[in-house]
Order: sequence, then C-alpha cells, then structure tokens
Amino acid sequence: MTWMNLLSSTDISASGLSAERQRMEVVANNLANANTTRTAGGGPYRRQHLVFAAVLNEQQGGFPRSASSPGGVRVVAVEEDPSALPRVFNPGHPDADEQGYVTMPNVKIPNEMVDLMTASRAYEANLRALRSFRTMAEQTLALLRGGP
Amino acid sequence: MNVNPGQFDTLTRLLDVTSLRHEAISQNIANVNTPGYQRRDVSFEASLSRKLGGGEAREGGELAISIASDGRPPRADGSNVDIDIEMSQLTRNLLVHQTATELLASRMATMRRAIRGT
Repeated sequence: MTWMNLLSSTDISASGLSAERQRMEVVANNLANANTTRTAGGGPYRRQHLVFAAVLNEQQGGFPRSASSPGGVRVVAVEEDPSALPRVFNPGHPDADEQGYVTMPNVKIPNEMVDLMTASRAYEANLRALRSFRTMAEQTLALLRGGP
Repeated sequence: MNVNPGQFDTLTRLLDVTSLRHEAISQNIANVNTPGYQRRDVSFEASLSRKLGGGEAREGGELAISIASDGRPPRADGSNVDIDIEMSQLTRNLLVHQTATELLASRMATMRRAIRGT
C-alpha cells in the first residue's frame, strides 16, 4: 500500500462533499430562477437536476486492494427537467401570449426545499465520515509516539 | 526467541481491515443519493475468523471491498444504502480501530519495558 492510497478515504469523502455542494448550488439556481421567463436559449427557465454516478477505480493493485477500489461519487450530468411548463393567466406580463397566458418555469418550491434538505444532510454525513477518518489516522499515528 | 509479542499480527491485520472498511463505508455515504447504487463492505468477520482459526499469519490476504447485499429491499431509486446503518457502521468501525490501536500500543509498551528491563 503506497502512502497515497493510505489517504484515499479522504478523496472519497471529498467527492461526496463536492457532489452534494454542487447539488445545493443547482437547487439555489433553481430557486433563484423560479420566476425567470426569459433565458439565453429562449423560453422560460427549466428546472435543472444533477445525475450522480458511483466511481470505482480499476486496477490500483497492491495489498489489500483488489481489482476495483471505491473512488467516491461523480456528477455525470446536469439535466433539464422535461416536465410540462405551467401556464399562468397574467395578461399584464410582457411575455404573455395572445390569450394572456405566461409560460412559467417548472420549478416547484417544495421539491427544491426537500432537495436542499437531503443534500445538506448528505453533506453532513460525508463530513462525519471525513472526521472519523481523521480520528482513525490520529490514533494510528499515535502508535509512533508510543501510545494513543 | 519470539520478538513478536502475542497478537501483533492479528492487530495489524485488524487495522488493515478497519481502514479498508472505512473506505467502503465512505463510498456508501458518498453515494447515498446515487440511484441504483449497491452498498459495499469488507467481509470482515470471515477474514477475522479465518485468521483466528488457523495460525496462517498473513495467508489468505484477499481482503477486498465487494458488493454486500444484506437482504434489505432496495429504495424506490434502486439504491440499497441506508444512511442510518452506514453512520452506525462508521462509528462501530472507529471503535474497533481504536480498540486495536490501544491494544497495539499496550503491547508495544510491554515490549519496551522488557527491552529496558525496568
């Protein structure tokens, strides 16, 4: 085991922290654009969400690792929510059509809040794992000083 | 003369297991929101009992992280990670690690006393 592999647990937890933070950013972006009717691509804003995938490093070799060792999580894509955009009757709005309806973004505030909560809890869990790893490493290093 | 005091190898091995297991648990926690993810674990008890049963010191060293199904039905998104179980496993693993390091430290202290002769 090389000493770089020794600290691979930190990378795993860090990838989790980073993924959850990105999710919180996307949620914040969705909330900020909950009423945006004009975007660069034309039309109202569409809710975005992240796609996560597990990472497994192949063939690092050496004891005690086997063919695939865990490498954390990765954000593979930012996708747009294809669900229907709600139409709201608001004839005074500059983006209203002839019938007076405005097509609004498909951002639902409760969904975003729940997403935000799960992301923040998952962030805490990753942080806890990172802290445990630090404790473990400190205990092991204490052996060099002659006792924990 | 045996300069390796009792269970030195076992305890070192236990540290290997706990650090590898920590990696598996970290991976599960990092992927708690990944749809379809299958939780991973180290076959810890099996390797420990093999170790305690036979005297083969470093033999059978195929410690590996593998997909570990514990029979619980998957969540709606296909993943079978339960965050509560992972967090308790994390703490448990930390305590096992602490036990092993404390035991190792006391063995080392004994050995040091023996060398000094005081």
